[in-house]
Amino acid sequence: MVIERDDGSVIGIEVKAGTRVAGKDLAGLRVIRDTLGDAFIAGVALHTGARSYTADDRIHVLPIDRLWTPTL
Amino acid sequence: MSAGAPLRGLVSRQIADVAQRRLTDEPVLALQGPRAVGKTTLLRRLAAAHGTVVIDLDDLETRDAVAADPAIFVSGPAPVCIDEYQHVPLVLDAIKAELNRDGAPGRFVITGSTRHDALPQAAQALTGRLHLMTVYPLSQGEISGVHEHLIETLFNAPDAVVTANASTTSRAEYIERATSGGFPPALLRQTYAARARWFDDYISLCLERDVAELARIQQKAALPQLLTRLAAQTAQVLNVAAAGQAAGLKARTAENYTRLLEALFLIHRLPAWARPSAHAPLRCPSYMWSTQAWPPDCCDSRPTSSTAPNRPPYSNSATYWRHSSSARRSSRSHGWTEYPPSVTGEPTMVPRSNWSSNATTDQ
Repeated sequence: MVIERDDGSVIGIEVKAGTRVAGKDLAGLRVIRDTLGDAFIAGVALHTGARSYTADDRIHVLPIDRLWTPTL
Repeated sequence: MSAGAPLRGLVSRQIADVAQRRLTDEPVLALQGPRAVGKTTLLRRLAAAHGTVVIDLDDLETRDAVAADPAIFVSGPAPVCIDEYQHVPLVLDAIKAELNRDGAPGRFVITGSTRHDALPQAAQALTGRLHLMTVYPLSQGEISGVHEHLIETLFNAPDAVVTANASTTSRAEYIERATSGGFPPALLRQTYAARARWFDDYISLCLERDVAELARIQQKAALPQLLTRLAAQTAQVLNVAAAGQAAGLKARTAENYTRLLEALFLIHRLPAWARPSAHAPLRCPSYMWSTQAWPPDCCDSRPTSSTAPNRPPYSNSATYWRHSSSARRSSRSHGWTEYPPSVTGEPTMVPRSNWSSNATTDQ
């Protein structure tokens, strides 16, 4: 999923059903990050595991439930 | 597994505030969305906030009265709230005439269960004077009374999304949510079987009654089959021809019928994402998204199953799309809270623990 704001900034969302996100699962997000450069604000891979972490430059891995359980 | 979701009292809908704000600019606000999604509730609350009443065109008596003399009904105190306007499309012409007399903002709020642009009579009547908003099924945040802002956070402070807090949601709970959907009447049901029954009845009603209001179709029996085939493509590259073939339909007919299903919000077609300057879209033309719950029949993830589904619901590697127009609208007016269901509402999921009654439902 790609969400683009009217100022051209973009975030990418990848959704996996597994409890782990493998490196290859992030390939799509890396492609848009490298294609868009600075316009790419963040990419997240959502998964059904428990942990959140930053996997790569501007690419984060989050549990799916973070959508409805915001931590901020 | 225990069912259970807190549909507690009145569900606060994020779109309500947005609609309220837009009434200060727009003469006519049209809320469109699938049947039973909560449009009537939304309309009643808007009407109550302004001290007016809802004219319900689902009511046959009211429908006849309005059809006989729409002008009287549309000249009432603002905002005039009309529910299920598609039953009497003539009312749009009356609204137009009334707007020519007085085009102040906030004059009308109308709702319909059919995609506005699919109504031939509606297409021209109010061109440029009607503001369309789509009401989607409840998002997970709306179901559990949480204000979601992951998308805003990602844009404004992306690093803040990573925390040390571990998620406690189990796989079973994810499946439960994914198969429960975001339609209030389904969420009020306690068991998977009861919800499945509701969805079956819902689809029958849409396919048998609502389709007939939109178009005269030759191969009616193929519709449920086409819908099933399309639902099996959820979150994959859309292939209408293949789905049509499996349902015994020619490609052209399958495309037409698919548009009908879209017009009733049974499915949602998502275009591929591409920069306007790009040479080609990143990937194929469009993707399928079912507006229902995640179709349990299409994956091995029935909540009754003890084994985890081995095929992820979101199967393909990376699927990219955007909704530029709605994204722009929502980013301007209120951040991202109203963003289409792919982000906040669908696949619609239900949190568990204490299912209770009293949720507001549409019908």
